Amino acid sequence: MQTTTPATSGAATSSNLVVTAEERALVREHTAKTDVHGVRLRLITADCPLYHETDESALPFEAPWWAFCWPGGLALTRFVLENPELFKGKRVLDVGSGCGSVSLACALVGAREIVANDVDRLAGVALAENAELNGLKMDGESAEGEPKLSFLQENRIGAGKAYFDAFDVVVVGDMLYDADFSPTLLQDLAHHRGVYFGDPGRTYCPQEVSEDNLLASYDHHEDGFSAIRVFRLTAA
Amino acid sequence: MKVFVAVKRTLDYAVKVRVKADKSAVDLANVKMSMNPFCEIACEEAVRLKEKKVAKEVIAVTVGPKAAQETLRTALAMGADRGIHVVTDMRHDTELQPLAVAKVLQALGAKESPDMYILGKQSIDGDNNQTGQMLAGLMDAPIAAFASEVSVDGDKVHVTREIDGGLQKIDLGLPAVVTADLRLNEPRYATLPNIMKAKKKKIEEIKAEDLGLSLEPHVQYTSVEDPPVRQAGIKVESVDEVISKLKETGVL
Repeated sequence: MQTTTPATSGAATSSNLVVTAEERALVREHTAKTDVHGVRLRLITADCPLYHETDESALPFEAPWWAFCWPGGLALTRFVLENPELFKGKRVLDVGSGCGSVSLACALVGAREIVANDVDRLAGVALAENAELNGLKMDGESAEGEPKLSFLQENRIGAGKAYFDAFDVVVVGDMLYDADFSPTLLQDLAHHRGVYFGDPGRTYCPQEVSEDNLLASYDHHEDGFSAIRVFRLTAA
Repeated sequence: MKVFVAVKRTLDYAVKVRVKADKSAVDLANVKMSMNPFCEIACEEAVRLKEKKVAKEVIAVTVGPKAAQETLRTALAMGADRGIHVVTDMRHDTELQPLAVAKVLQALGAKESPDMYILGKQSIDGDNNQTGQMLAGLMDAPIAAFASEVSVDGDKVHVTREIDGGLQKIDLGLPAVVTADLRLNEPRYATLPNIMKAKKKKIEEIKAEDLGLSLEPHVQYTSVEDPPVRQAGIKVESVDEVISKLKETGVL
């Protein structure tokens, strides 16, 4: 899934993929418009046939991580909208951007620049679709003073401290579920002073978060969870 | 608290069962397999305890062949946090018997120290209804079998049991064993997002022989038979004929 791309520095200001009309049609075909805390998104909702498909090999694409607003992303989206001052005017990296809800929330509260980063090409397609739904422009199309929103299709987990430090803010919605990349990501971001995690208590989520670092906790009595937390690792 | 939920891979409940030609067992070749329905109910209850913040961690446990991993994945998709798969090639409807499974659960429990063990009351293949009772016996722990309602209050579990002629309410101390009856809850269906996330959850594989337990069966199956085929009825022309036929068969 990972591809070679020209964008290697943290200074990417335009997307490294060109979204085709066919891809956009594919995303539209299998998703429905919905609303997440005021951010409009195309997702595979309970009304879509694919939501109930239990055989992954029957899907028209690779596992569509971009087609759901996972609990961690859901909480982080809400946190961004409720705390605009933390994101306004900032340069933001969204690691594992998926459907793009957190990136779009950052754009809606006036972040200066947002790099939505995901390994899946279709996450870039979904972002383009969802940006349009929210009246947001991508790449160079945004006017002076408007948030600059771009998509970076590349695995940057493991890129090290310096890469992430180039961003004022790093947002991570529900990425602490994987044995391989989650511990690496936590390591990359251990000392970053502007990182926000949203997580319902996945396997690799730190068990104990100090009161000082716990920024929000939202009730979420679904999927075997009871709450979703927004937290940081180091005090700002 | 920590909750163990035992899940078993069985023939799907909707499958038409065929007996093997040599009458040694039911034919499992090319037949749809699923999670035992009572185990689904047990798993649902464990996940609900987690959603109520009563349980901190739900660990799904299965004993069975390689393919039983699918059953564990179903439990993880329902919301269990991680799985333990004790791998054995013993036939899980005949050779692998309740006492062996109870011993395995006891051994894993000794390592993980769960506060509650939730099991289905029985599996639809062996139909034994013994594993939970045997586990409680081995552990010298309290048991509430045939639960139709479970709630936890501090270190007490309140269970409503379905018994002959009504309901019985009992309180148990921890650790406790609870077996799920049909009316305990309605299990949720796995959906695509849950299945995707479940694939990332941890499953620990343990070879049954590495547990140092004797899993030898104590009950020998001598023959498995199809139910007798129903005899065709006859049509009668009059009431008198009905009476005479009934007299013939000795009913009247």
